[in-house]
Amino acid sequence: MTSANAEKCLRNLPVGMRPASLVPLLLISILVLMAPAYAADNEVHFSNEFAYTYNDITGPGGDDSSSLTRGFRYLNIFGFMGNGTVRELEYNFNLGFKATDDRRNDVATFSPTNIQGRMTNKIHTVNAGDTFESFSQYSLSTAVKGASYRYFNEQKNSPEITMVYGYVLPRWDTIWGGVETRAIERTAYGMRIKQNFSPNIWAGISYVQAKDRPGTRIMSTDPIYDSNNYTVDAEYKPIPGLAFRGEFSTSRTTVSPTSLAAQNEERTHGTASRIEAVGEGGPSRVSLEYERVSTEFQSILGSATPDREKIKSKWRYTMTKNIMLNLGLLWFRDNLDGQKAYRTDSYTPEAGFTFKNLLGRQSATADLAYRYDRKFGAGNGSGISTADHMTTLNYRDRFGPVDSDANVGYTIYSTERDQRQAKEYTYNLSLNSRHEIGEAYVVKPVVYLGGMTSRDDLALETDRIYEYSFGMGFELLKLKLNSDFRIGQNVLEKTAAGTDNSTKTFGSFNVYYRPPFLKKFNEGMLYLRSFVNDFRFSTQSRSFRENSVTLGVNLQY
Amino acid sequence: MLRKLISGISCIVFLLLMCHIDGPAELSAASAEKPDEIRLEYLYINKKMTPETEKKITLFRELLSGGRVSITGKIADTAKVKAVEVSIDNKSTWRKVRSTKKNTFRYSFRAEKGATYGLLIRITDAKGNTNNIENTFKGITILDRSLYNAVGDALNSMIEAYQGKALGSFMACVDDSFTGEKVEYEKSVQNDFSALNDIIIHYTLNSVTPDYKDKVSVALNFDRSYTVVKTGKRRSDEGSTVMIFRIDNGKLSLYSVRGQPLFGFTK
Repeated sequence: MTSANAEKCLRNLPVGMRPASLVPLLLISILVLMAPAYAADNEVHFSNEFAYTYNDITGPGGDDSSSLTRGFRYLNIFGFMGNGTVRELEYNFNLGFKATDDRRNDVATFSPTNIQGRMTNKIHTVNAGDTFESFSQYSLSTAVKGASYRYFNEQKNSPEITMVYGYVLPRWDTIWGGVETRAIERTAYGMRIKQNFSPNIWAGISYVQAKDRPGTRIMSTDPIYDSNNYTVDAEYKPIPGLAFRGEFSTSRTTVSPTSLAAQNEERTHGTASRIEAVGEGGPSRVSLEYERVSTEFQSILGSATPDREKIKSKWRYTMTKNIMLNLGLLWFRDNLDGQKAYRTDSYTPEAGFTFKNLLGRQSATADLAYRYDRKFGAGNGSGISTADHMTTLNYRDRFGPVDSDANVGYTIYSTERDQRQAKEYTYNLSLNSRHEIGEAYVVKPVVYLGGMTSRDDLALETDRIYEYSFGMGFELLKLKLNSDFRIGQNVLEKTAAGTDNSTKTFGSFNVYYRPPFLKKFNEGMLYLRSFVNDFRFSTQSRSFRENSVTLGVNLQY
Repeated sequence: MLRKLISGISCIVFLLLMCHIDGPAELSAASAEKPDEIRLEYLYINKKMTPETEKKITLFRELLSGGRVSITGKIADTAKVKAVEVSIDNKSTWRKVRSTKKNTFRYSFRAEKGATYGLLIRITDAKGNTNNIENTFKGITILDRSLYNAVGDALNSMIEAYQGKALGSFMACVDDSFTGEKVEYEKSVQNDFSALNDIIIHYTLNSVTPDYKDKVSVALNFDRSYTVVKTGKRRSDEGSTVMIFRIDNGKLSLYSVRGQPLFGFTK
């Protein structure tokens, strides 16, 4: 292509697409030329998916209700990754970029997705860019934009020492981006030392700090955290099949709820602990867990629910070759410091059976489960108690060439003092089949029927939902072309006055084609995806239709 | 009172069951055949300790340092080791590896996408005795799909189940050790199913960051539209969230959720 022609083509492209599509194309060209030059122990790969979509929304309710953006929109996702060995060093890298002019896809037109490099000589490991070090549940399980270093000599069974530092930000362009990508600037650093004392015992200690920069508040009322977590965790396996795990963490946190005055700072100190025993052997698997997380415990970079004491037990038992039993009990409560007006205790026992080879049918499997969800709001009597029952049955079987999957469910919701008395029935059936026609064609019909009926016994109202659809898949094996279509309806019928009934009629058609000229690109594929959703409401001003057609190409090398 | 009673019963049941748990049958059988002095004390595959009972290992190639599977082991001090050999093709060929004075050894090999390797370790002592080689077997499969695609597949499965209100299929994608309590998460999702009709979700991935052990952090943007059953009105919203998946033998299951919830948001 001459430069004049190239310029002409560029002018013909939609405005937002020009710079975004050129960058990946340029990178692809460079990489394709570079790739063969690499030695056998070093490799690079790239992937690029470009999709061009036309969305059309008509009808008075479309602007408020559709999740699509009108007009022509593009989305390009580019990835470049590699790995290899240089002398004693093994390395991996991963770079990714995203470009779009559809604000539903991303607030930024062009944004880096992954920037990550890793290098190790099997003892020292350095990771830079997107860094995810998971220390333990209470201390650190959050990815950062920064770096980490790990020392671990397996041969000497040395302590495993990990250090991490970085920004806790959801995206790279938050660091340099504009108003749309702003977020509170939170830095995190931490260190962990873990030692394997024997193949059956290890213990670790961790320290993690998360600190927000006050000047980066988005809203003046945003809390600003300065949190420190000190954590010890360990595991012990006394015999094969039995493991004990435990974790204890203490947090010291300073929270500034507003930017208005320094005296608003609140200092809290809390603890969290959990112990778990898991036994597995023969036909049984049993687990028991106890956890207590104090009201003031904060885990900014880990996971914990403050103000909770919990006991959880599970027992999975294979009764016979074809029958399995699952029993479980979860109890938890809040108000550990008596700080609330009332305390809530939640009990959730559950029981389930799985039957295989049912009634002598080898392809038949049935799951029957029951769960009771009981909450007691006690204390001074201001709490409200609930008692919900949920029963489900799933049956999967094969009748000749047809696979079936049927589900029925029955739930009773009961909240005291006539707050809620309701029943819910759910049911659905899907049938699908696969038929080969000669060696070149495959046809796959699918039928779905489903629904839900919800009865409110206090308001004497009933909601009914039905959905039915029919679809067909086609595979043209010699042409390497797959396609499918699906049409159906979803109906919501309500008896309550002043509410809307609605009907959605939908259809979709997709084609996936691997043409010979893309054979060089592993998994290279052209595709077309389209759908129509037509929503009709009793209040006609809410009705709308959305149509969408996407053409795309997916390349991997 | 009831709480104490329940916890007491649970403890008793647990202990009674533990009394009936036998060790894995293969272990007992193996130890009868060969002297126990020549055995592996531990074995790490890609820095993860793998017990003798774990026979099948599935790995993503891009999570391998330099594209290589690394094996580190220690032989029990009860054996005077003369030679250590490793086979990655199910005993067809053996390669000698050097062991240290502390009876440790290390081996690595470049692994190809989609390939399966039959790993075995042969230890020979000064008297010419060998360990029970079969006990060391590990079938190592390198997946031919990328972690990025696997994350997409896991999310698509969850969204398909969620949109189709298939609670069982949805919860099958949630890990048993889910940090927000799996039963509570199930109740939240079930509440969505009762409160909403005709849910449509679209998403784009922002970043996929593995910890090179057993977890991957996934940041994504989403938009969703749904009909609120109570009012019959159609609503749409958008947001971003971070989901952490646990990787267990090539299968991804939801371990933790941060930020705005994509699922279970009505309760």
